[in-house]
Amino acid sequence: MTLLRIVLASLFFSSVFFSPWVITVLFACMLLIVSSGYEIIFGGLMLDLLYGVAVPAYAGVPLLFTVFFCILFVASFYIKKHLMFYHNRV
Amino acid sequence: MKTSFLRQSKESRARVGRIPRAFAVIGLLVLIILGVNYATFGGLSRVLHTIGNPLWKAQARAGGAVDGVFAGFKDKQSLREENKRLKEEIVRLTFSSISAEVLRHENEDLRRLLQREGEVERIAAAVLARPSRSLYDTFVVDVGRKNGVVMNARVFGAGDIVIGTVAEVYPSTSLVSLYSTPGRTTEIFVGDDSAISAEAVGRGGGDFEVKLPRGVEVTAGTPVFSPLLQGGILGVVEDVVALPSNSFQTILFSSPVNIQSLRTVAVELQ
Repeated sequence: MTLLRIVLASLFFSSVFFSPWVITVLFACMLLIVSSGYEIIFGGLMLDLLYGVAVPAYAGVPLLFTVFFCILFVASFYIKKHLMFYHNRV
Repeated sequence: MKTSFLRQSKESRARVGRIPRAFAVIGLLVLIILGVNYATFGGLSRVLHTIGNPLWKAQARAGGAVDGVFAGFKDKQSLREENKRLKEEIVRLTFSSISAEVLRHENEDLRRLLQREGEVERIAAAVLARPSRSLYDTFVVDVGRKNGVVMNARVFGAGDIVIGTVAEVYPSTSLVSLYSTPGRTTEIFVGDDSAISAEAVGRGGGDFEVKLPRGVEVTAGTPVFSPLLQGGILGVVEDVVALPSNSFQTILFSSPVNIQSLRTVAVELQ
């Protein structure tokens, strides 16, 4: 599981530089499935620091991906607590 | 009794209600990172761009090499796509040549009138990261402060087609924000001769929307210009949506260049 997490985290952080954002989100979801996945928040920060500008449609705050990945992380934490699959694993 | 759901102990139920310490630690770390970036005037962004610059260039080179290998094996589908692309290019060039003539005359007159003759200096830049990398409608180019690029400099897609402005400048790279960024408003002129001044709102991906009174006649194919001196062409009207119940009509226009397939742009030097 640790090896899988390392591989997925590497792919996730690489995708920040090389892939469209949907691929990054996909890797983030995969990371959340196999681990606690707190890395995704730092990936979100990287996306915002690299490409972020104040967009009026997003309330002018260039932290769209950080906020989105934080929500994903917190939601996954509470969802996992209610899933039998993650019982005794989280 | 056999159950198909997870039985939770009192302790685990209580744990769900509490905010785990990990959240607080991660939240604090995020705040520290953002604070450091703010205090250093985008220092972390600069570091990330410095790391990204060689990676993006390597990716572009690798992409070019792969294209070269497969160039000799073009199938029917790719030829069809190329044919379609070239037809679009012809339409764009035809339009460009007409509007360029109009603009040239207008520019000459205005500059003579304002005693502001002289060409705008531009620098060619390669697109390192396309707008699809994020939802911000931004892209990264390989010219920066070292090349004389400044904040808010205009960026041209092809010829006089203006697509955005420089939002952030780093030593060797720059972040370009498109005019079509969702919600971004831009002053425009619609039409050639009796141009109408309006405010366009970006819809993302090179698309814009303008609200005009229904009485104003605008047809598909009408060019849209930037009101600035040597401002360039912003787009071409694609569709006009006018409902009988609404006193305003919605003009939908797009940039003549395909933002997603841009490989090089020109950045204005001031």
